[in-house]
Amino acid sequence: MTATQVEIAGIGIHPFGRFEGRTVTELGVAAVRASLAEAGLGRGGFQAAFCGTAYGGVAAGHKVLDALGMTGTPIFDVEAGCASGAAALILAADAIRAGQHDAALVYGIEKMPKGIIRSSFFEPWREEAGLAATPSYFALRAQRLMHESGVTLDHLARVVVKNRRNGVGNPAAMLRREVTAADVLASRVVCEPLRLWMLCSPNEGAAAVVLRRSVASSEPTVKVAAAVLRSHLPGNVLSEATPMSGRVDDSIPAPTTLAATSAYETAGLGPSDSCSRTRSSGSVPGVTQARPSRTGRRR
Amino acid sequence: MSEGSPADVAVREGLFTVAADGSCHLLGGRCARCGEHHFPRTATCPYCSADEVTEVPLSETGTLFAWTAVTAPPPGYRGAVPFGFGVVELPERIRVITRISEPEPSRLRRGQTMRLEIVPLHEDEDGRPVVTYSFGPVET
Repeated sequence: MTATQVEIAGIGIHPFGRFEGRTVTELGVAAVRASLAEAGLGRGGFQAAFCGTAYGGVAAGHKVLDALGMTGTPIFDVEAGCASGAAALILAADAIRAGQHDAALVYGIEKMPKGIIRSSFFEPWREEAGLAATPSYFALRAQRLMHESGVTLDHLARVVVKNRRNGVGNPAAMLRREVTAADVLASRVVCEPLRLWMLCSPNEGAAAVVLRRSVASSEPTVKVAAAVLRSHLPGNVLSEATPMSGRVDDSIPAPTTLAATSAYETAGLGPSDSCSRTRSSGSVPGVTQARPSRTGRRR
Repeated sequence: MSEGSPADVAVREGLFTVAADGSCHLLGGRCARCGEHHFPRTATCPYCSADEVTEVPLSETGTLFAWTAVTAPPPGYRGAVPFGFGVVELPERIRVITRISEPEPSRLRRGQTMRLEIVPLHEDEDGRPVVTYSFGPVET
């Protein structure tokens, strides 16, 4: 007997950018509707729904399915910061693997405020003291990476060049113009060594996937080879977390490392095997240090 | 930079102390079970979960581990920009996230000696200075 495999039956996306006058619910409706259409499913076609969002508000996932007349199944609203969408997908995939559902709807919706991200994670005094500037934490990580690994400012700029190039042919992308490393380095210094274009642009958008239990088929499908989540260990002052202090101990792995290691083990794959991967659209140092925390393999 | 004065308002109680002679210390926690230090002090040790934390003043000086400057005011911040921001390593074997009193990154170098000071952020509704902790380079 082989373990249950999970595959993607349909995807939908609302473009990413700025959409004045359109609610986060409306963005979600567009993405969910498209994913269900591609999967050939309608009301009653899925047994549970998982919605990832950090700024969507109370019961944001419920509001999307309410607008579509598709409530009644369990709906789980999931928040895990930048990993909210991945967390929703992990819960859905695990539930299908456990035999709870044949199909599950997963969607991520967001309308980020403009400017430096404001997060209730930071207590008011940390904001007041100037210790709640998220780019500054990424800047410290970038400086450390450059100091310890030989990564240069030009390398960081070239990550942006590569990411922007990926957007050129993608009609759902917010940034669709090709840029040069010189352009990136000429953008405003936000927190040395990070330039404005090295930081993620807060934006709006939504994406949805329908997951289902794999059945024997001659049709090629996209399977979820691994989807894992890890949180930070205490004591690493410059990992993905933003603590107030940490230990003088460089052996404490960052959660990205823990998640990537686990994902590769689960999938039985390594970095050289990946032909398609997803990752968060975080700031450059995060992406540079990260190995993909979730890999999907086309079979 | 300014030294602490009784008229000042700490940005949060319990982060630091200022003595009559102007000397100041961050108030950390030391766990009786694992012996590790943390800052700010919490009721439970963040490393081993023991509820055996006692408050300890941390060393005034340390070494610079990482630094940058914040050039645009982050949300909820009413003070001046640019300001320095970084990590200072203390002899208690901890690294502290802190403001850095030097806002020009090129004037700093890794490993240099840094000393704690209390700096003004802005004024409260009654016109009293609201102050916080910062580390500045020690003149050599």
